[in-house]
Amino acid sequence: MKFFKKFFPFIFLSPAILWLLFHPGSVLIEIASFPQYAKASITSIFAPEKLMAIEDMRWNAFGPAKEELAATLIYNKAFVLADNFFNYVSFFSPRWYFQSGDGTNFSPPTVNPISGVLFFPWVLGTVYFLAKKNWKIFWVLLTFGAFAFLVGKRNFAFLFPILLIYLFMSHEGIKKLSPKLKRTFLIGSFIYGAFLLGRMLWFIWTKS
Amino acid sequence: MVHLDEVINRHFKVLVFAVLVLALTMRLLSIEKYPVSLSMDEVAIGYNAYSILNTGKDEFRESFPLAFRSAGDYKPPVNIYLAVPSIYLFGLTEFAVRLPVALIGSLTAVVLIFFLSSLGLSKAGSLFGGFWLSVLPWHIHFSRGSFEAITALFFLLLGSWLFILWTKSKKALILAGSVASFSLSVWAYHAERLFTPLVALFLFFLFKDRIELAKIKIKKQFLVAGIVLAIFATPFLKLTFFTEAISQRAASTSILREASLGNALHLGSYENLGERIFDNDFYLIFIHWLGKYLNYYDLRFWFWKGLAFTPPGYPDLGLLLAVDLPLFFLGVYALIKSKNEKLKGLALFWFFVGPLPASLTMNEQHPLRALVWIPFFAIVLGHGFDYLTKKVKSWGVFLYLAVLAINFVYFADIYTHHFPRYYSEYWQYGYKEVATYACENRDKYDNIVITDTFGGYGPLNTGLPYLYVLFYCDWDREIFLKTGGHSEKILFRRPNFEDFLKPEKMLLIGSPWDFLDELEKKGKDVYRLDYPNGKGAFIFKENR
Repeated sequence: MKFFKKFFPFIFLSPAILWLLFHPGSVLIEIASFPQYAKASITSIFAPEKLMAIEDMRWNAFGPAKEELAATLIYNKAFVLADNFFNYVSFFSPRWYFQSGDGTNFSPPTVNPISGVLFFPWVLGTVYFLAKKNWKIFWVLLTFGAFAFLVGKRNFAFLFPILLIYLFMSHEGIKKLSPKLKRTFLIGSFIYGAFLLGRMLWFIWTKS
Repeated sequence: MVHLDEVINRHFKVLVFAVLVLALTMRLLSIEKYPVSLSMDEVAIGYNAYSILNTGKDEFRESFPLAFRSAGDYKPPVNIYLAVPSIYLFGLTEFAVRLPVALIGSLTAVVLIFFLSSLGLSKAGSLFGGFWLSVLPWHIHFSRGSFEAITALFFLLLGSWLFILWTKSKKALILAGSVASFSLSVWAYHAERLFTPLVALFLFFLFKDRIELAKIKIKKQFLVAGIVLAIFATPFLKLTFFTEAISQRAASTSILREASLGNALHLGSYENLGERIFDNDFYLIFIHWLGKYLNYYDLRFWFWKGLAFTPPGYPDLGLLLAVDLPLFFLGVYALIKSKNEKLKGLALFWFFVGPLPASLTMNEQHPLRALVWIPFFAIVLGHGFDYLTKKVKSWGVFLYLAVLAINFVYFADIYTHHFPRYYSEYWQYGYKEVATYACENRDKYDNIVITDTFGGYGPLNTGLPYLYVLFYCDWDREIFLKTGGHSEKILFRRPNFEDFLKPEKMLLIGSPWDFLDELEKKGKDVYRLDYPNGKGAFIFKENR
């Protein structure tokens, strides 16, 4: 209970979380569409344009003798899989969560999904969980990321759990700061969070 | 069985030398051929160094300048002066221009070993840091292309290492060397103008428990360091406040120049109070900067697609090799567990501040401007390797080295085959042949016109062909050194319709975009030069 009391203001001051909570219908519809999305996403793993790029590289690799063994060994479908792996990895890129949003209707307009200043405590929080060998949180993170990746949708309807976990990590990171710095950071991030909410509401109001 | 740690400790000096040899090999092998041709900046460095060597003046006839006006910019002076002895020894050649930075890049690997060691990292971890840098494509590429950022990084690391050394030895000469190195890093490249003072201040606070400021001896040493700093800083401050040499560069690359930000700013004219509060310019600038800053914290950029050797959608290389990914995570874990608080503090500082200079400039994820970040990765990977040797034992090291070898073959192929094929035009490929041909055949024509607009996909690039003519044509160079102007025979502009009507005999060297429609069939084609990807680069035409 004490934890929720402390964590609640962070949720309240994160535009993306409020935005999603106020749009439950579209979030649920999006999530319910995952079977179609997943089918389309999985069939596009070896999309022709990706294979074409690999073939172009293979054909021009190493030297004049085309399609050498080394070229075949390096430029093949495994490369496409590795590329997909790094696409998956990019689902965790902090920029989306702390600055730009996902660029869809599931992201609050014109503001950071999570307050941008929380990036620094997020790093400290990540370090804290690693130091504590709390692997569970990382597994949960990777699993939700994998689900979004398999569905092929890089939006907060699917990445909402990651958003929450990042916020939680930031919260834990702030706790690790020295008391003086912690107070300054808390006050600063609450003022900035309130500003973001105000900006989001102002934007909705002026555009309606 | 002899442990790897023991081997490294016993043969440390030999292994440091081996790292230097490896780094030199990676940076000097076929240096004239890769990158595919001298860039505009490289020919500018080469010619200005040649001009300083022969006349003591730069291309604009200014004596021993501290900021070189060239290629539409003010160039930091360090690389140009470093190229002078090399050009004296080897002449005005591609090798001579590229040699100094390749040497400095190689020495950086050695300095990195001592820097890491001075921070308390094990000999195995430190040595690995140097080895890792010696084979790092990110650093190899920029070392081979005469980039100023490589020189600046060398001096930054040297300054940091000497400072840490001074906190132990308290020798005035070492402190003076540290200050001189930090200062040279500021003189060498733009990113260090912001980064170096921050690092120096941070190191001071990090090691202040060792400094003993109250002692007279230390105060005297600070006085000496202050004098050294003043020697380097005074002309720099003069350039900053009384000329446009420093400010012009900052203004021309600032994020404020980006259209996406510029169009959003109100510049003080807000329509209402709501706009003034919630859409104010400070917030818009902050959020724009934050996006650029956070863009650097992207594992895909770090390990998979960061150097842009190939077009989007094609296999590429990250700042680090993909094989470094597991070692990186191991290193982060080992660093967190480390009891060396100073090292942890410095790593965290470098992690957060490393991309700061790059994030304040135009362009997203700029690998050149992010080079100052390298020490952070070296600290982490050095720890990772240390952990690997202690906990995973030899098989882990051999597995890493085996995958590294595959990764390296891949890099070598990308760098020597694909990069020149896709991006030769961005290295002004073809201007060497253009300049050489024009020079050799000058007696056959009354005038020679050389285009400044080129590109395989459209007339998208603008170059400075006069610099290539100065570099590759002795005849025009001698005229330029004497008079400050080119031979009247060579004109630098796009060929046009009127050229075909003129009575004099002209050689028109243009891109295919200069001879479109009816111009294509006019005159007589003498020679055609293609880019390595087969697209037309330059057409050599006689006007009659």
